[in-house]
Amino acid sequence: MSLLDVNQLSVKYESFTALKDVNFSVERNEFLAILGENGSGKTTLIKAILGLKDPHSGIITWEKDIRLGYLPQHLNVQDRSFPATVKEVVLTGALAYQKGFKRPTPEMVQKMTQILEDLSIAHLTCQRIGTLSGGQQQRVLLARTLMSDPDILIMDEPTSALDPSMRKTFYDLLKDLNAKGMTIIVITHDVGSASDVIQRIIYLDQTIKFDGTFGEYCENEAISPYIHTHQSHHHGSAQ
Amino acid sequence: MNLLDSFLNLFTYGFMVRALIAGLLIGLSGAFLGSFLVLKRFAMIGQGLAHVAFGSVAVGLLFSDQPLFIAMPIVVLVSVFILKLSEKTSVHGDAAIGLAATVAMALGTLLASIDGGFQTELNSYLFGSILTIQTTDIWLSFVLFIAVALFGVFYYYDLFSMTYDPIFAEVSQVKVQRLNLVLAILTGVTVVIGIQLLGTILISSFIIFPTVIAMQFQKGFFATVMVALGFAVSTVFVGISASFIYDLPTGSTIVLLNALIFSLIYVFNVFKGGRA
Repeated sequence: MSLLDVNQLSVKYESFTALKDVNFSVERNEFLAILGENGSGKTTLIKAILGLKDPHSGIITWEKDIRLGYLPQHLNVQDRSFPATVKEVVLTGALAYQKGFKRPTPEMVQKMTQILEDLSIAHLTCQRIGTLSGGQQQRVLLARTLMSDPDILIMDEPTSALDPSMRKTFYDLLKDLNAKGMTIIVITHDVGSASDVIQRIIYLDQTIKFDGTFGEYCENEAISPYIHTHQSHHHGSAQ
Repeated sequence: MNLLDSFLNLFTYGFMVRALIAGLLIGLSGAFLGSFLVLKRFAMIGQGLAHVAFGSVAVGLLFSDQPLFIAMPIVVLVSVFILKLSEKTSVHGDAAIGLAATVAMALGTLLASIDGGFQTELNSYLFGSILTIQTTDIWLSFVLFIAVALFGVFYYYDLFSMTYDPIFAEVSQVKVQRLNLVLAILTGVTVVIGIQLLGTILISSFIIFPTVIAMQFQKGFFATVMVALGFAVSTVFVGISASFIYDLPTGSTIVLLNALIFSLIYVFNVFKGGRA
């Protein structure tokens, strides 16, 4: 059995069909990118596989006892006055899965320090998260996700708030995590920065239009203009 | 009689001691629950439930001279209903609160006009009266406080997680709906027990003010909760004492004391440059 099986998935928002008859499987240790134009159903697909949006029809099956890590596109809390420090937010990643009486342990704090150092935000540990820039907040959310040791990391446009140099560092980190056995699903427009780490691409437009390797995707005449458009857009905006 | 004598004299009156104990227990419970409700943008649930309590007390007075025991299950049910309405449908939390509150107030007013016999007693629940607090109410407040304290000790981190980012909490298998349910029930009970002290009009200040004051210090979440609890204790203690010494209405004294503290800290922050 695969890590994730999606069979005949359809999702509707009232009468609007966001996804129709989507079928795919994800194996352990894959690095999968989901591409598509705005409104193609990418975020809906992520919500459905995370259990945040009920399908209209179809079945989503996860391998038993799987631990999910989710990195949203941006902070769900938009209130900058929310009183929470980076440390408090990051620790919830580990505490969510702690059994019984939940309390931070010295091991958790040590692990948090290491992750924050890896993401170059250790100096922000005691700062309130609302005072940080978008890119810093995104790294805090990634740190929170990594604290839970997820089997699979699911990310929605994770690099949208990062500057070009940080994008490279970010994808290098994901490459390391993938090499250590973590399965990764990423919704991205940033195919350029991720081209050396993405193993498989699904191109979505309400239903799956393409499912194959990065190389096959580039050679696909029907869809490949999309990658060139977005790569040039990315490089343009990076300057 | 000097100020100290007047203050010490307070403890010779049984009803004042009962008001202080109940006030501190309800104040602590309200402040703790309020930390999550205010930051979940559900601050007005206290005000809405207080209106519901008014209608429920009117229903209670039709059948009993102990209306709070009838009002409590009604308010708790409405509290859960408001939560579910905002969770499951397109009705927003504030709209759900407004709907429930106005219907309950209309019901209370209608019942009072039909059976005019309890109009005066019903009005006493509008502004509260510390004279009405009995030993039974202290026990109820104590049980509430213990329930809130246990909820806080065992579920603090899950409560923080779902308050800060409910989507992440849900994905991380935090029992968000179950925690929301307990939060709604405890809030309903706090409001019903608290209206004897502050009245339906002012009880929501127990839930809102401590957290809003604590947030002005711009600290982390745990520190904010602790500061809120500290302000809840001090404003209840000083407010009840001052209302006794200067013969002022208790509820109004506590609320205005909170407002004064909030204003002073806010203005200090503005001058310090900590706030735009």
